[in-house]
Amino acid sequence: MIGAFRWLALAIAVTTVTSAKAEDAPDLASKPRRSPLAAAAAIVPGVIVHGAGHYAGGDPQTGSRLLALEGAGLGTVALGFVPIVASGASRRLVGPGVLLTVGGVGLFVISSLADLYGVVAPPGGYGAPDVDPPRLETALGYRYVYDPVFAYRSFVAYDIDWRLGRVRLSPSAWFALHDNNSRLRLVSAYRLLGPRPDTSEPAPDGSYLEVATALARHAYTSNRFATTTVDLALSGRLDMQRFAASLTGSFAEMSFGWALQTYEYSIDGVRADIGELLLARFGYGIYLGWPGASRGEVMLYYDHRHDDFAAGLKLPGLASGVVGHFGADARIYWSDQWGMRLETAVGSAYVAGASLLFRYGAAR
Amino acid sequence: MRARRSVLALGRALPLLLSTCLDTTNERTQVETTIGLAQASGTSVEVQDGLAAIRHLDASALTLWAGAPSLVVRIRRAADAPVALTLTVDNAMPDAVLEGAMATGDAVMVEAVPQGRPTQKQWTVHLPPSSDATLQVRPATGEPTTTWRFALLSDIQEAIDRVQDIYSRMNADRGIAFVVSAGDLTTQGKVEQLERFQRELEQLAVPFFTTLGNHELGTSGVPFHDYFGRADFRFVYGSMQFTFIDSGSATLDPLVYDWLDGWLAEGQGRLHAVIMHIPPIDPIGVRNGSFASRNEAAKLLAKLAGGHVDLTLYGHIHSYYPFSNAGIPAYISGGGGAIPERFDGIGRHYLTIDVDPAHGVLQTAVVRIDRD
Repeated sequence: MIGAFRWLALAIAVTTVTSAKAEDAPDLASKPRRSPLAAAAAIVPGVIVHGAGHYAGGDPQTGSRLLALEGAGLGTVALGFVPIVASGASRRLVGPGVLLTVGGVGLFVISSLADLYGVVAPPGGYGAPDVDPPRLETALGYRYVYDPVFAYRSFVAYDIDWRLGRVRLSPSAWFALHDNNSRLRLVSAYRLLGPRPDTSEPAPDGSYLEVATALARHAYTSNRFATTTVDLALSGRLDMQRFAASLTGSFAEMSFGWALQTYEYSIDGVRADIGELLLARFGYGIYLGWPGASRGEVMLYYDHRHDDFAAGLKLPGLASGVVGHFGADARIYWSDQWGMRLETAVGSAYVAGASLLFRYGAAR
Repeated sequence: MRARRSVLALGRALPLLLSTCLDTTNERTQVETTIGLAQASGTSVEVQDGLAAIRHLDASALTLWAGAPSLVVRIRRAADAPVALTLTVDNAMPDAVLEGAMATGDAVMVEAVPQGRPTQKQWTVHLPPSSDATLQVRPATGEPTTTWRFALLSDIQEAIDRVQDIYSRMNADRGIAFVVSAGDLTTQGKVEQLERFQRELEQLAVPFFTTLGNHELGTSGVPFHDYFGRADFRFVYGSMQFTFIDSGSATLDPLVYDWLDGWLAEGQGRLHAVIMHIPPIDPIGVRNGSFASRNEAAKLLAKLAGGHVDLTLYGHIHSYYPFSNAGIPAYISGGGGAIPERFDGIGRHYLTIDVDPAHGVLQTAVVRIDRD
């Protein structure tokens, strides 16, 4: 956990330094050349040599940064994974080891996607961040969950984001329509850096850093158990224009944390179990649309959580049980107040959903 | 327009994500329903509950790998089949005997053929043409009614070269009736690895009953079933039920949950141990050497607790952890020699569990082979 925070701080420091360099180079927005050759190079050999797309597009400076980011990712993976293997996943080393491994994989994936984005997206990207979050946002929607070992399928979901300056309270509830299953969750977050409502000066971009706690109660009444989970996590988003001008309009996210979970069984005389969860998540996304028009964002992510509906990915062979889930999350607002959220995730279950969004209280 | 193109691109990417298959277990679970069934050269064989792998069958010979101390085998012969059938049972109890009865009620004539190994038994069985016989392989002394012992050994993998010292230690303990295993016998589950494992097992003086681990799933197909039989099964010995579950993919197949409901009902009123490779919940939660879904883990544990299971035995984690899950005593013992968990002071080991059927008492002990 502490290792993860150190890693995040280091990543932010590195990206801040590199962002200064990016701003010093006024012609970077026109580089690299957006061409089929650059896009192809971002895939082959770009999947191995990150930055190849930018090199092929005539932007070696960004290409080198992406290559360095890939190297940092691989180094971080080695730093985390080698001790895990060498120690036989020792209980003393495995926590920091997994955090470093997931963080390193995150850097690796982000640098690869950023290379592709930078040579495909037009200068300035497909949109800009919303730097003026509303005080209140609600989401009412439907979720379909296909988990072969549970009977539930359809849920109605309701979420609220209530922002008071730096503080965010986000209660949410999911109720199964044809099974006795419900999940209630309350997130309380404190924004250390980044956009927030009711400020005189808008944030320079969508980057943020937030510490959050969450309390969740998930009742599997028809399966005779319930879980209660307390999370603590540090989450951050970095607008990638700080890294390189060609990446304007895209962002990367990372989150690390820890959770305590109880499993309570509705069986006479059976006491609850207590367990821990490692929280780690990374994603890469793009902003869609511009101020005054329809806008939003879409993000692909990996989440190391093994609870919640999606849980961990089922793999048939040697890696069984280790990997978390993957997902995509998109928000589109067609007016200042109304929008839609689409989400999907693949882990032990397929999760797909759509919600109608309503926002209130944006100052500008 | 740009936003629309982006959404369309995402739409094209989603099927790729969704192609990740949730159905990691169904195919091999379906295979299990055919284990113990075979037909060849005018001879039809059906092993009750699939408790043995049929390793060979022709008109004059049948070879089984036993997955339980007692087997019931139904054999039907065609009119042109020869009278004599050589029945070989590997992985048998050392004092196993064979009895048989024709469908008509007449006894089946059997002659024991001495073998060099205590766990290999052979008989010549005389079956008239067009006969229908039921054979039973069982311990000659019957099942114990006083305190008896079994051992748990899992996660041998690349330490197969050193496994003989574990077997020697087990052989020196005359109280061990048989060994159960939570899997990961091999590094990848390849045919040559499974054959090597069974060759090494020839030195063990008692049978070895096992489910599979995730390392038995590291090759195409699942040859494990051809060599060891079912990975999901149960038997009763000494008033105790042993239920083996395939959790090698960090999940159970939905069909196994259906089987488990029946096996838990059968286990009511007797001591009941459930054995699987990957534990539902890892005591070191941040490691997640456990089910892919914590929700499924809790569902399974609630089911086991509701079924009054007395003992859960796991492997996968190469150390020794005594703990409890859903109030059920639980032991992770992955001490067969695969890359050990360091700094735990355990090293290679196996467990012995003493069973007192009269009082429903289980006593567990760790037998250390070497230190970390």
